[in-house]
Amino acid sequence: MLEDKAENKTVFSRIGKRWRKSIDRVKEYEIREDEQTIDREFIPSFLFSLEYQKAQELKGRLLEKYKGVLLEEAIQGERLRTEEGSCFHIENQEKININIINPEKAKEKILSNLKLIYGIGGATEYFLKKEGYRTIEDLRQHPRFGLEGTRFLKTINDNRSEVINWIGRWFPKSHPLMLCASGLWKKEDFIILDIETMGFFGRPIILLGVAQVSANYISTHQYFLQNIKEEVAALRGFLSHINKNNVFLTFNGRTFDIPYIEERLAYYRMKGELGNAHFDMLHFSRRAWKKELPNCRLTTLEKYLFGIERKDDVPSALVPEFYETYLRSKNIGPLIPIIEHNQQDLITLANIFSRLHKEWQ
Amino acid sequence: MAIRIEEVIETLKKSLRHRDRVEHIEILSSQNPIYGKLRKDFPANIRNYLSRKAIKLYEHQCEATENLRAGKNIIITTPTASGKTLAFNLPVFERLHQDKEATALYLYPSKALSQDQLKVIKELETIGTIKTDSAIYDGDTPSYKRQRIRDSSRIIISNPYELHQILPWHYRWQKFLRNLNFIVIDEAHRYRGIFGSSVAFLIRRLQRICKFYGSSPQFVLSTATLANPLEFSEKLTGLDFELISSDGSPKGKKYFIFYNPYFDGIGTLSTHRESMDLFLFFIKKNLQTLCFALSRKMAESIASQSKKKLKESERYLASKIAAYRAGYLPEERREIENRLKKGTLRGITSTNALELGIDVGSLDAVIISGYPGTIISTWQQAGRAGRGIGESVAVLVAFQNPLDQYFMKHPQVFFDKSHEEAVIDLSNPYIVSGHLMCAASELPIQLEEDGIYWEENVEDILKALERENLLQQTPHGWVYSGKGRAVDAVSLDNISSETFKVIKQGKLLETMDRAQAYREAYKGAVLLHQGETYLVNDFDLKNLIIQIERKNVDYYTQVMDIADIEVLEEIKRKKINEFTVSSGDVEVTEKYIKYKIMKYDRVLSTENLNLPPLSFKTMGMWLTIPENIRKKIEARRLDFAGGLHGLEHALIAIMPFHVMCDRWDIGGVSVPSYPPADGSKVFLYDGFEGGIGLTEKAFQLTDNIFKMTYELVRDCQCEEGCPACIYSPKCGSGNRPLDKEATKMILRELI
Repeated sequence: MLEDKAENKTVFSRIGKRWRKSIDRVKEYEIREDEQTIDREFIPSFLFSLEYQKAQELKGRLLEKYKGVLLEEAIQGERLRTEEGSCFHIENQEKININIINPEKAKEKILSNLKLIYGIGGATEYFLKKEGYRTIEDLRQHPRFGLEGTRFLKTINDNRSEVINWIGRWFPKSHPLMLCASGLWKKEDFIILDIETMGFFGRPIILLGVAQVSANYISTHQYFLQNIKEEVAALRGFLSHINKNNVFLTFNGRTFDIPYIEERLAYYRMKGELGNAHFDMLHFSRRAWKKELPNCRLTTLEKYLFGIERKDDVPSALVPEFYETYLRSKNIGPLIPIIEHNQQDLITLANIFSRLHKEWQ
Repeated sequence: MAIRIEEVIETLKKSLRHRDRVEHIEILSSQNPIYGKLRKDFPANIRNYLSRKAIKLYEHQCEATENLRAGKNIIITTPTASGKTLAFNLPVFERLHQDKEATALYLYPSKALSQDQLKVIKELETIGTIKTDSAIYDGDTPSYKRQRIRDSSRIIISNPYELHQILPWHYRWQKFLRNLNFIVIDEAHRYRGIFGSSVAFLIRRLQRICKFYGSSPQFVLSTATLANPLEFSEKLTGLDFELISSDGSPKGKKYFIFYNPYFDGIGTLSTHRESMDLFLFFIKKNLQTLCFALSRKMAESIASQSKKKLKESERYLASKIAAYRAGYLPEERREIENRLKKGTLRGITSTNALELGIDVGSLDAVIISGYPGTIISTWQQAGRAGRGIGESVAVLVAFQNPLDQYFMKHPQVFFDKSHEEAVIDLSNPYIVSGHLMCAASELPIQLEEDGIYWEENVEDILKALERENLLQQTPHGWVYSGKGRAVDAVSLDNISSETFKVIKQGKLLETMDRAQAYREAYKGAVLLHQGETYLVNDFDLKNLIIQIERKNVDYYTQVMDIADIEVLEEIKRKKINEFTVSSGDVEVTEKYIKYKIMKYDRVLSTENLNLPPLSFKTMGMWLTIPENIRKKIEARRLDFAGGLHGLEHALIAIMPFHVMCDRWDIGGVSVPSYPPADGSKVFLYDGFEGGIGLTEKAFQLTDNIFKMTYELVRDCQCEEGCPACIYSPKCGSGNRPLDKEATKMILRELI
């Protein structure tokens, strides 16, 4: 309807600027002056003003330091090429010492919990044990619980993922028995996962981090987008690690990482099954340490459990802003802490997993 | 119980008190039912439902069914209470019965309406034994219920605001969307103007996602009578429609009375008192009566004063009166609706909350206290009287303002006038660009395929958004890359979600929006609720909480506000003859500085108020009128201020034809300035926070707009102005002052 073509162009660019402004106003985190009421640990939705200031200073320093430096020069990695474009792939290996309960022990411990059988509560369990039914295996002979006992044994032998659902019916997700069930898998089966994004849902993922443990090593793979066009390739890179025997190990991945990736896969009309078994360390950590710690953010746990104090870290809430600065300035400085932050998260996640097993032995 | 309406009308016509005030009685004749026949009968369970409820289908219901069976989209425009809901519910259920996977989405403009519809559907579900697990999914749905509804409900009732939030999550809705057979949009006439244009793109976003999941749902639109139903439905959805307009439901005879308290030009009692008087008259005649008032306060006050009156004479009737309006809590509303249906309520006063299709059963009489602003609304309200075949009466009570008076003196203009057009604009770049961002955040936009959902200029707009890093062109399509969520920045309308809570002794009494709170519930105000008076003790701006206490007072309060408009930035300017026309950003401010304590019509005292001004920034266009024209007009002893005011109204009347919006989307202010200052001005502005390009576009089209406005005023047959030229249905100052001759003179100089 607007007749004049040139006139249109100026109207459109004015409209573009207006949207830019109002999109910038959409707040996903707030800056707080004081440290009261902090129980929303895992959602990076607020920041303390000191933290914010420090991060801005860091950004400034990094922009200075990395002026004119190429990503390949600063971070060792290579282009991952797929049929649908490419992305930047960073691979690292570190020594690590992960100790989790072994499959036999895990199975033994689970089977000794009779409460997993329908109809058995604390009192019944007590009497059953007194009568000599010490494990679910013994229960197979029981007139009333035999059938259900047999069914559970079949499940634990044939379908480990189903055991998690089974336990979930009788115990909270954060229960030690649930963690114990993770011992049914081999160390190598775990996919440790953490993503960095441009916001809460509906925006691109900018970095997918995956780690796997074998023997005394943890190897991390990070798929990073040098621009938005590379998201499909990064998702492909991530998917190449996943098969149906894998188990996910995340920190708040149940509500954030996994649904987020699923949403992006649907967005690009890509297929990918992420219904694997999943152990979310956030739930366990809260149960284990909530009372002793000011909050249960990953960095807090890290500091308390392993004495690691991150230097030059970017708060999760500011990741989108740092990435945007990179996109606009083409200066890789702000990316450095994002990539390092993500890698550190993966390693800490593995360590927390191990520590929880120790704690709840 | 059976009262002959005719007798009541005769009494009105004869009584000294009333007869002069009855300016006109239009008799709308009765109609026998026209039943229809289906080519193929419904399945047994639906037949069972119909026989249990003793329902025989009317012609239009059969027509709707056959069209939906044939895979067509339909728009139903039959009047209120003609069985519209059943007309689409039956074929929808039939399909859901035949196809056990099929789903349907119902969109209602408000949460209250969703509740009503759910009740109807649940009943069909139970009696018809068709399992759909129907549920409401809106902002009130607790999160623990959401997944279950998405995964298992086959009928989901929601609203456009919720849909806007849902679409980016489409992958969670796969199952529902893949099987989506019907989208039912009830009260569709509400989606007109700028709001409607936004909803049109929301619907296109939904269609695009449905296509991705392999479904192409049929549409059912149900609306009030419109001038352009087919054009409207096609624009709203981009699809072809069949029009179902011939009403087969039986009608009783209806008397439509135009009642004029100012028949003598002076008037003894106010419109409000006269409405109350009629209300009581009907109630005492044993007619179940609904009185629509223009404001909440008016509705409350008619109810409470009627009660008081009845306590003096017919005590038993006093408890049979209630007020009903938006802001009441759902439980309270449900109770009033039930009492009305059961007949234990005789009289009810309401704002337009009841104009929407809430089912309250049949009423004998409707009083419309003041012209509601559109023909559509007037008929919707009048349609509340006379469900079924009984006789009924509707009364329009006029205000003293010129528009109401015009209709009183020219009733045929009202009865011959076609209903308003529902305008939708698919080319407004402000709206298009917002929804492009949202769409790009739902699925990458691939122009070869997605081009069908948008009109021209899309690529240029996409590029402009890319320059701001909001979108990026990738090999997979245009991808959204803004920092915040697109749907959070793009709103469907201008209505803020801010609500003030009115608290009485720690209990929530009602809710209201900011503008209402400023007008009615400031500290010191007397607030009416269900006819009781409450005093506002505290007005907490920070937490949006209003504390009140119950107190019997015999006075009421009225806020005094000052509207102001200020130019923030003049972006463009041009000369037309001696006039300057400008376009740019303006700020419209309403200041609430004082309130009056009143008893009857007497001011007892005036108190100061300490409220921050309500203001909003928007886009505007303004016209500066040269001094010599003012002098010319005054030399002819015409009213210059009236001329400006008339010009403002006439321009607002014409603008929608050129910039495709509803006249309610545009605001105006005229500022006569007596020298020196910077000249007299007429302002037009977009009635949307931030502006939506209406006046910006009008600025490019001033030649056409001014010419057409001049022709309108020049050619209008009226003497001193009428609704067809310079009267505005939404004038804040009651269409005063107005001077048609002066308006014409200004316009002549403009072209």
